[in-house]
Amino acid sequence: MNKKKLLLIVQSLLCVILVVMLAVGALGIYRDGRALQAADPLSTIFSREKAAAALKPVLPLLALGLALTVFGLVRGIRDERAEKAEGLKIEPVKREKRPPRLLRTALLVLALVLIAAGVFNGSARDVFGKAVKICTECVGLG
Amino acid sequence: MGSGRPSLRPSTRRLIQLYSALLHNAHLKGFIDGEIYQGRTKYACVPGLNCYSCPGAVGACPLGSIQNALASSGHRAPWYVMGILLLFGVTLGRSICGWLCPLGLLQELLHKIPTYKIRKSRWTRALSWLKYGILILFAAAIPLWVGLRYDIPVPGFCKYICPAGTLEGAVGLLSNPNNTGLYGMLGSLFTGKFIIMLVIGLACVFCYRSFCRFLCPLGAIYGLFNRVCLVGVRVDESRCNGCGSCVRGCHMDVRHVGDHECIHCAACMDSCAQKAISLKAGGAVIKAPAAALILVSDRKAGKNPRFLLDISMSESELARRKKGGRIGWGLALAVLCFALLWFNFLDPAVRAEKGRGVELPISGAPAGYEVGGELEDFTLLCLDGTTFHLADTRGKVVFINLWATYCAPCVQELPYFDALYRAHEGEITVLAVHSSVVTDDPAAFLADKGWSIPFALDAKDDELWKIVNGSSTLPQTIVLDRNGTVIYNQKGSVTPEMLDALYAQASGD
Repeated sequence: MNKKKLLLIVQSLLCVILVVMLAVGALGIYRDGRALQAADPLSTIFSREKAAAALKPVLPLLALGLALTVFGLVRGIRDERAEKAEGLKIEPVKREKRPPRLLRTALLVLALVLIAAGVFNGSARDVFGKAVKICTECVGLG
Repeated sequence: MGSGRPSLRPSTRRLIQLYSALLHNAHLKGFIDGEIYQGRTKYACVPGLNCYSCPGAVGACPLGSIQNALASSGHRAPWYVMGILLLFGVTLGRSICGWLCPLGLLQELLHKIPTYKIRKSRWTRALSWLKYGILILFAAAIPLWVGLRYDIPVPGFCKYICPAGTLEGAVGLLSNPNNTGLYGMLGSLFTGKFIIMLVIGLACVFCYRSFCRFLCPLGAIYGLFNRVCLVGVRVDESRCNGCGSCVRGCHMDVRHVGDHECIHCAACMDSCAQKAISLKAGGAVIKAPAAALILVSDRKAGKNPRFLLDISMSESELARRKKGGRIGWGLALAVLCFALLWFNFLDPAVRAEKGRGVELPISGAPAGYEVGGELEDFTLLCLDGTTFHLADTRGKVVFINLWATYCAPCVQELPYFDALYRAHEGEITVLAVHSSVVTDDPAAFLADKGWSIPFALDAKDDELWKIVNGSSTLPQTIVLDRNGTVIYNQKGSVTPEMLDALYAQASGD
């Protein structure tokens, strides 16, 4: 097997293994944490220490992956097959008529009118409020 | 197998993407402090998908904003965000995806990892329609339905799917040692979203821009404007021979150049042997195909062709254009430098962050808000006209909850506090304090809820927030025992079981 092909295989497997390890680690912390929480509602599922412990075994593989990536990039190793599309129906190039400039101008004016209306009706304030006082569950902290 | 060594020098597009990502997240101080930026520029949406919970983000995410606006559409029409999306769409269309979006940059960098790749096919083309389904269901239907029916703001895509929120927001905040307390709020939602983020990241390694092509609702919205947008790739019909090389060479699932899948990255320009494709802003050419650009004088003299923007361009015009390019980059760098200075040092909002809600090591902590401490006394005028004075609550268990009308988990847990209050009336004091940042009148919001607990509004200078170490994240609960000692002070939702356990602990039962 040629070395370039080997690198691609190793790197592909490494990426999958890393993701699986991280996912299994997160699920493990959640499962153990839920069991603890069933006994004590005030205990927390996740903690910095548990996250660090789950990351430890992943770090060497991550370092290896990074090293292989840098090596591959410097040597220009890539999967050239991917640069050719397969099984695609290539349609004749559409001779599309561009919409009139008036339409674009009208949409731009409409955009500015909506923005102004939003400032007056308070919807701009909604944007600001959510952006500075973040609801934790809305970003996945929950 | 590819082994030719491509240049490691970043292309102009890559430099612009990096520049844009840095400008989107110019509040670098946030990564050090672990606090998000709370300045006035967050009234404005940035064009790309960049979560506002990222410690570096200096603007609001347009996708998160439209979901929250739809969720609040029972109170007011979402004109502002609709106008902003329309403005971005008509001016730039999916050029934003190709040139400005930080998440697009990240996906392209992940795809650089040398692995086997999944080729574009009719299956990927079919899958590209999925993002419209996600737009309709998660980004529109869920916020509208839950907002109108239950008056609870739930941004469906942000809450259940968005990898940017998990990476930039959750991981971005959690990785800071100052935010150790945030780990306490993590549960099933974080676990699920973390796994989704990993899967999407893995998909991006193997398949070019997987999130962008198959899942991104923002790309779906901008794609609707690709036909009318000002900036984008255009085909010169007089040169085009319909060979389809542009479509074959494109990494996206386009049917033709400039359709709703096209991100205007201009990679197709290199595939076109007819040199019929260029990147334009209206009528002005931004980037023309190489090698069709021949200096007329060179051709006459039999020299090797140099590159121009127009076949009839003179040498002086070429020099002028090059000079213009250098000036443009110079101005762009000046803007970036100013942005970095402003968002990290000069902005009054940044200078006010000192002493507000930053969790300091114990030896340097302001007295009172940590477990074992005693809260600084305060007085607040409640919405029902009564006055809450902390010193008067000695002898009772005290629950203080920080909430806001635009925070779904906050609104969902208020009934638990009300139930707790009713169950232990006389032995307990509960105070729910709304953030000083108000979008809907809290009194009007509460009018029909029938809750017994007292509600108050924090002062404009976040007086109570500072006393209890409140920050930019909601909700937060603080519990004091009968002696006034803090026994619990955590960000995140609470359950009825947690409240019962906290009451038992605080009352000494």
